[in-house]
Amino acid sequence: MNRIHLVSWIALIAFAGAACERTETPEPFPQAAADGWVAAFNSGDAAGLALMYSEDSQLLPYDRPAVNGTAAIQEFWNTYNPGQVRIEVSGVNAERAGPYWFREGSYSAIYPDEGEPRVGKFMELWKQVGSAWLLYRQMWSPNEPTPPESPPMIAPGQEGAA
Amino acid sequence: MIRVATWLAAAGLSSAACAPAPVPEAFPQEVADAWVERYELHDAAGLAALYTEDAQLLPPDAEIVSGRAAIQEFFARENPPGSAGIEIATIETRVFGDYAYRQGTVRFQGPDGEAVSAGKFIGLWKKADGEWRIYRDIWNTNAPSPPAADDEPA
Repeated sequence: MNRIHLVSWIALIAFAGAACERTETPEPFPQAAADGWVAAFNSGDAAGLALMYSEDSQLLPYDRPAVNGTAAIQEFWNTYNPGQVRIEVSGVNAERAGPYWFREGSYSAIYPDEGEPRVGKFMELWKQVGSAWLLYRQMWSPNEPTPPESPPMIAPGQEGAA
Repeated sequence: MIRVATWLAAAGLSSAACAPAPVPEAFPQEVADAWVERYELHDAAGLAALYTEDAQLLPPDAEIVSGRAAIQEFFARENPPGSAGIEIATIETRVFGDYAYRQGTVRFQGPDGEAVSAGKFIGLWKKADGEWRIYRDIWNTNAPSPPAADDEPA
């Protein structure tokens, strides 16, 4: 009887430990999704880009008002000439913050008619929707002022937005 | 009977050991309020003390500012006595464990209190040693700055 009891308690402790271990295993940042964003931008796929944002997502772009929701985000990215302008990302750090992933890094935007890339930094929050990790907030700014005559242009339908 | 009781205990132990995280605490609004007070007092050292040691500012048109000492220098340079005021409105806050998130809008004011530019910000906060501090602070404006008078054609 005592042996049964001992075995049961050993099993109990192992069971409890295993159950907790499952929930505490750190999940890696969804790098494939982030790589997919760069690939979609560099191939000029604004519709594909928009699919990488949650329905309640916001872009918080430099020198532009916030852009809300996937339809407006798709319009916005179209104004950046994705596929002609190319984006490279570096120096990335990602940290899990509760249900979100926080991600930051540097970017280089390479314009076909400019010698030097425009360099800046970005910050993002990602959230899980179903099985997919999607961008929830995305904000950036260049490290130097953008020449006034340069893109980004005003996104269609956003003139005068507050 | 013993076996049943043991497995019931196992289920109870595992669920207790893996109990969900406690109810999230409120966003540390008093620290956010202190930030505004210190900004309006042009207190660069006081502002820097509200950031983690490894904090970063991500300001527009400038390089990343890393660490509390550099942050103090930044505010001393960018917010000297007599510079414009600031008005901050919170849109969203979330607290999850030792992280908190805050998004909002900002208006920079001229000497007479008039709004001279508007923008938006995200702050990522961390709790360290029981104190909430700002870990990442990014902001930008909603429109390009108007050209300075000196830049306008004669």
